[in-house]
Amino acid sequence: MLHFIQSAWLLSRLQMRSLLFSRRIIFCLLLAIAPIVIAWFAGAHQHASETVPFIGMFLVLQVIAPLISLTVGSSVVTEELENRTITYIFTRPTDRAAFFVGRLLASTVVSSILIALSSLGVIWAATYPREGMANLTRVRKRRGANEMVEIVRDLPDDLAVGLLTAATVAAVMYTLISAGLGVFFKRAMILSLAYTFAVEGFLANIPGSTQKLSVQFYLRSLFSDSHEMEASILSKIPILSEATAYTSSEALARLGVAYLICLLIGAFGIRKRQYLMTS
Amino acid sequence: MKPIIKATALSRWYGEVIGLNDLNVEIQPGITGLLGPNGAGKSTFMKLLVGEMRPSSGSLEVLGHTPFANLELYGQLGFCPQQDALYDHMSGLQFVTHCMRLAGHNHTDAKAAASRALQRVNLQNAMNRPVSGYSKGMRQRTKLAQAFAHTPKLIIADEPLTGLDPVARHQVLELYRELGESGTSLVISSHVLHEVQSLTQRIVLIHRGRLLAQGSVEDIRQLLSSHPRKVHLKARDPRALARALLELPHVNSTTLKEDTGDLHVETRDIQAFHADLPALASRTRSGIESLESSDASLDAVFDYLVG
Repeated sequence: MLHFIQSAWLLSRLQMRSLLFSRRIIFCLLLAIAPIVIAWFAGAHQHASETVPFIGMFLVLQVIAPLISLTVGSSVVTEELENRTITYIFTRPTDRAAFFVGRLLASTVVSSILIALSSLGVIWAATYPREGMANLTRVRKRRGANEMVEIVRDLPDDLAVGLLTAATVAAVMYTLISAGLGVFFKRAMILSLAYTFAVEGFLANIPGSTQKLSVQFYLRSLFSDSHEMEASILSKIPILSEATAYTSSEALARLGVAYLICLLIGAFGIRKRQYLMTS
Repeated sequence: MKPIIKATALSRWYGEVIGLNDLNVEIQPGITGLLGPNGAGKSTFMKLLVGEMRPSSGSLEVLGHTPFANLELYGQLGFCPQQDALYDHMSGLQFVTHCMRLAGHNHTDAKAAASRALQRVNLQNAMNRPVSGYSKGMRQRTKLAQAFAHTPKLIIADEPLTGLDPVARHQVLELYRELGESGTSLVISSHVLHEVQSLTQRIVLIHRGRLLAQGSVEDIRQLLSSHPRKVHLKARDPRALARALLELPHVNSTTLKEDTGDLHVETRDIQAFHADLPALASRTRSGIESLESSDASLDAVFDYLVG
């Protein structure tokens, strides 16, 4: 077990290093910046309480988080295969599952940080005080006998926390999905994109309980449960207002179980799979 | 003596392409050369030996273990792959240390062993430089160092001399000899006979995925010298020359191409042929303009043996 952990850690460091100096990371950084830029321009015209849920739900959670995670996650197995360096790892007395777990760990850390920073950037850009105070709001507060009007940023704290939580969970889940597909298929990136944007995109957007088969459903639950849905702009979209079947903790618990199952499938799969490399 | 490698009816297919076909072979401890022309199935056999893939049918034992994903075997095995793939951002020392650590050694021991291995392949001056700046020969030697740094019982090297200059080639062969003398078994694949003949007397010949021959270098050399050789001649009067050549006891056949006037001769004894030809050409006044003899490479032997 100790050797498993040591090997996973070694391989995790190797993956971290290779990710940080790869072209993938530049693409991911550009993706992470995109919603911040959009939030910046939107923030000049709209209240943050309107822009953040909208950008958070439809850009960060549905597009940017999956894209970054899939880009980073698809490198877990395929990069070593394409570089043909996997031979050095698979001919050592190291459990192949340690290879998967270690590299997945590094990829998850990288994608989570990027997506969390992107979400924080969206919150910051949308709430940045500008002329006209479009993203500020007046709150009446009583201090002793006096009633005061305080000008605060127009964004409930729980909305920011909700976005950050949902985005990070999205990173963790989609990185695993992409890495897991890489264990079984050569074209992990293409398959992950097809799964996320075609299969999930379909499942998550048709009414009924089939939504629960998609990660997006649980991300919505996490995001919308964290603030007052009734007051949110998202409540005006029928498919989203129906999709709050789970509380944050319920959604997290179910995603946790799904994560463990996928992780075990990936870890066992990599022990059994043969990887053919052309010389 | 118990064989270190035992393949029984071993086959491996890639879809409809046959990599290995019903291979039966036993390899004893020591140094063994695995020979065959390009595409013979050597690399497939090597990949099966190190458990990179599973056989399609048949069985394979390496040091008494089934190779695929066998951690117990990997502790006793060193593999030098054919592909020129390394972690380019690492130095040679970091790379070999990394491989050693994956084998379960702590950082201090791994680094010390890696350093010793790199010194043995004469990379002591370059081992702290990134491998991206290494020449092909240096990269090859780095791959070798990771294969033997953990003192395995068996080293499997797939075309380990490719890309090495003559000096490096000599050094690497010397290193293999030392490893062999110290009790390490080696299986070295190559498509060039003379590369391995200085290293070992034991050869396994593979062609088109099948075992063609197994034995000593002398046996192989005998095959080389006894199989018919082809000679291509151009002469002013090829018909007269062809008639005269057929009288020689060691000439099997002559073929004359009417359109070009080329004469193709098949002889069982190339040396006798070369000795007899000048007198014959003079006697028949056939005016030989050019002479070409096919080489005695393994490919030629394989072609002859397989038909």
